Amino acid sequence: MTRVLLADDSGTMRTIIRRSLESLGVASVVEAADGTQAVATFKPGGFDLVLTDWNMPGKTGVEVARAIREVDKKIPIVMITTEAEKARVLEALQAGVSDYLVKPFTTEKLKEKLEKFVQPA
Amino acid sequence: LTIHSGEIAMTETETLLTEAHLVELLESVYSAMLSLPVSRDTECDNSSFSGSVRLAASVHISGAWNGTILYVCTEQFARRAAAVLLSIPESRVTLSEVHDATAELANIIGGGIKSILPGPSSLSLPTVTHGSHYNVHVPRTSQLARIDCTCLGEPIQLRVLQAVSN
Repeated sequence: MTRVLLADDSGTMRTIIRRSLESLGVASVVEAADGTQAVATFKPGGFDLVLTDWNMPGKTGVEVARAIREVDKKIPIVMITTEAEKARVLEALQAGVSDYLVKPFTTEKLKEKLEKFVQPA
Repeated sequence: LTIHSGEIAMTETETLLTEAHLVELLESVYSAMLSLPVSRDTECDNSSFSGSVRLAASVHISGAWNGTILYVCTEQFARRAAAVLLSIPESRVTLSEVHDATAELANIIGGGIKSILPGPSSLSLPTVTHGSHYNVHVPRTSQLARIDCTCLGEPIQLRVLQAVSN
């Protein structure tokens, strides 16, 4: 069973992503409404996947990725953001982000991205 | 550099942000996130919102380019959009959810516009104003581009306001 930490300051976006995860059989989703909460919630071994927005109150998604990488080198971190510029993508990858999805996305595109990291239930 | 009707030239960077860019972006966001068609409506203007309760969501861009993106829609449309995004009936959508969904759409639209403009720059968190009989004025900016559209018969307005130097 895949355990997901989902960080986004938009409740709307968290709902959209959580529904997609549920449709893939993921029932364990812990939500964080900002970057600070995401870092405080993360515990090595407690999650199998991190999904994070970039622009959030408190810590940004990049800061979240850096903080998680200090304690967990392997967990997949997927950035889901409006930040589409090449320099931003590179910055995220250098911070330890494993994959990247730019908003707007279709439900199909989101599921396609998540399927890469979600183990079948 | 030639300046065409409906286009504003940013001579410092030789980058153009056109109204066509805004229409294409809005169509892309609405199609992907809402599965709703949006169409340009040159007959729409500020008066299209008169008498309507409306939401104005703004995001600010700062860095190589500075300015504000303003996304305006009616409360009725905002509620419909929130219902679509949350996959729930309109009657179950709370006011907080209407505000959050509108803010997120403005964030996505703002991010798309930022990627067209010169970078690097940062995008602010969105803010939403909700009510009627108000005007939004961003001091020390001038309008770079603006489009008026309709979706489900409701007016949608998108404005790009560029900061002006003192």
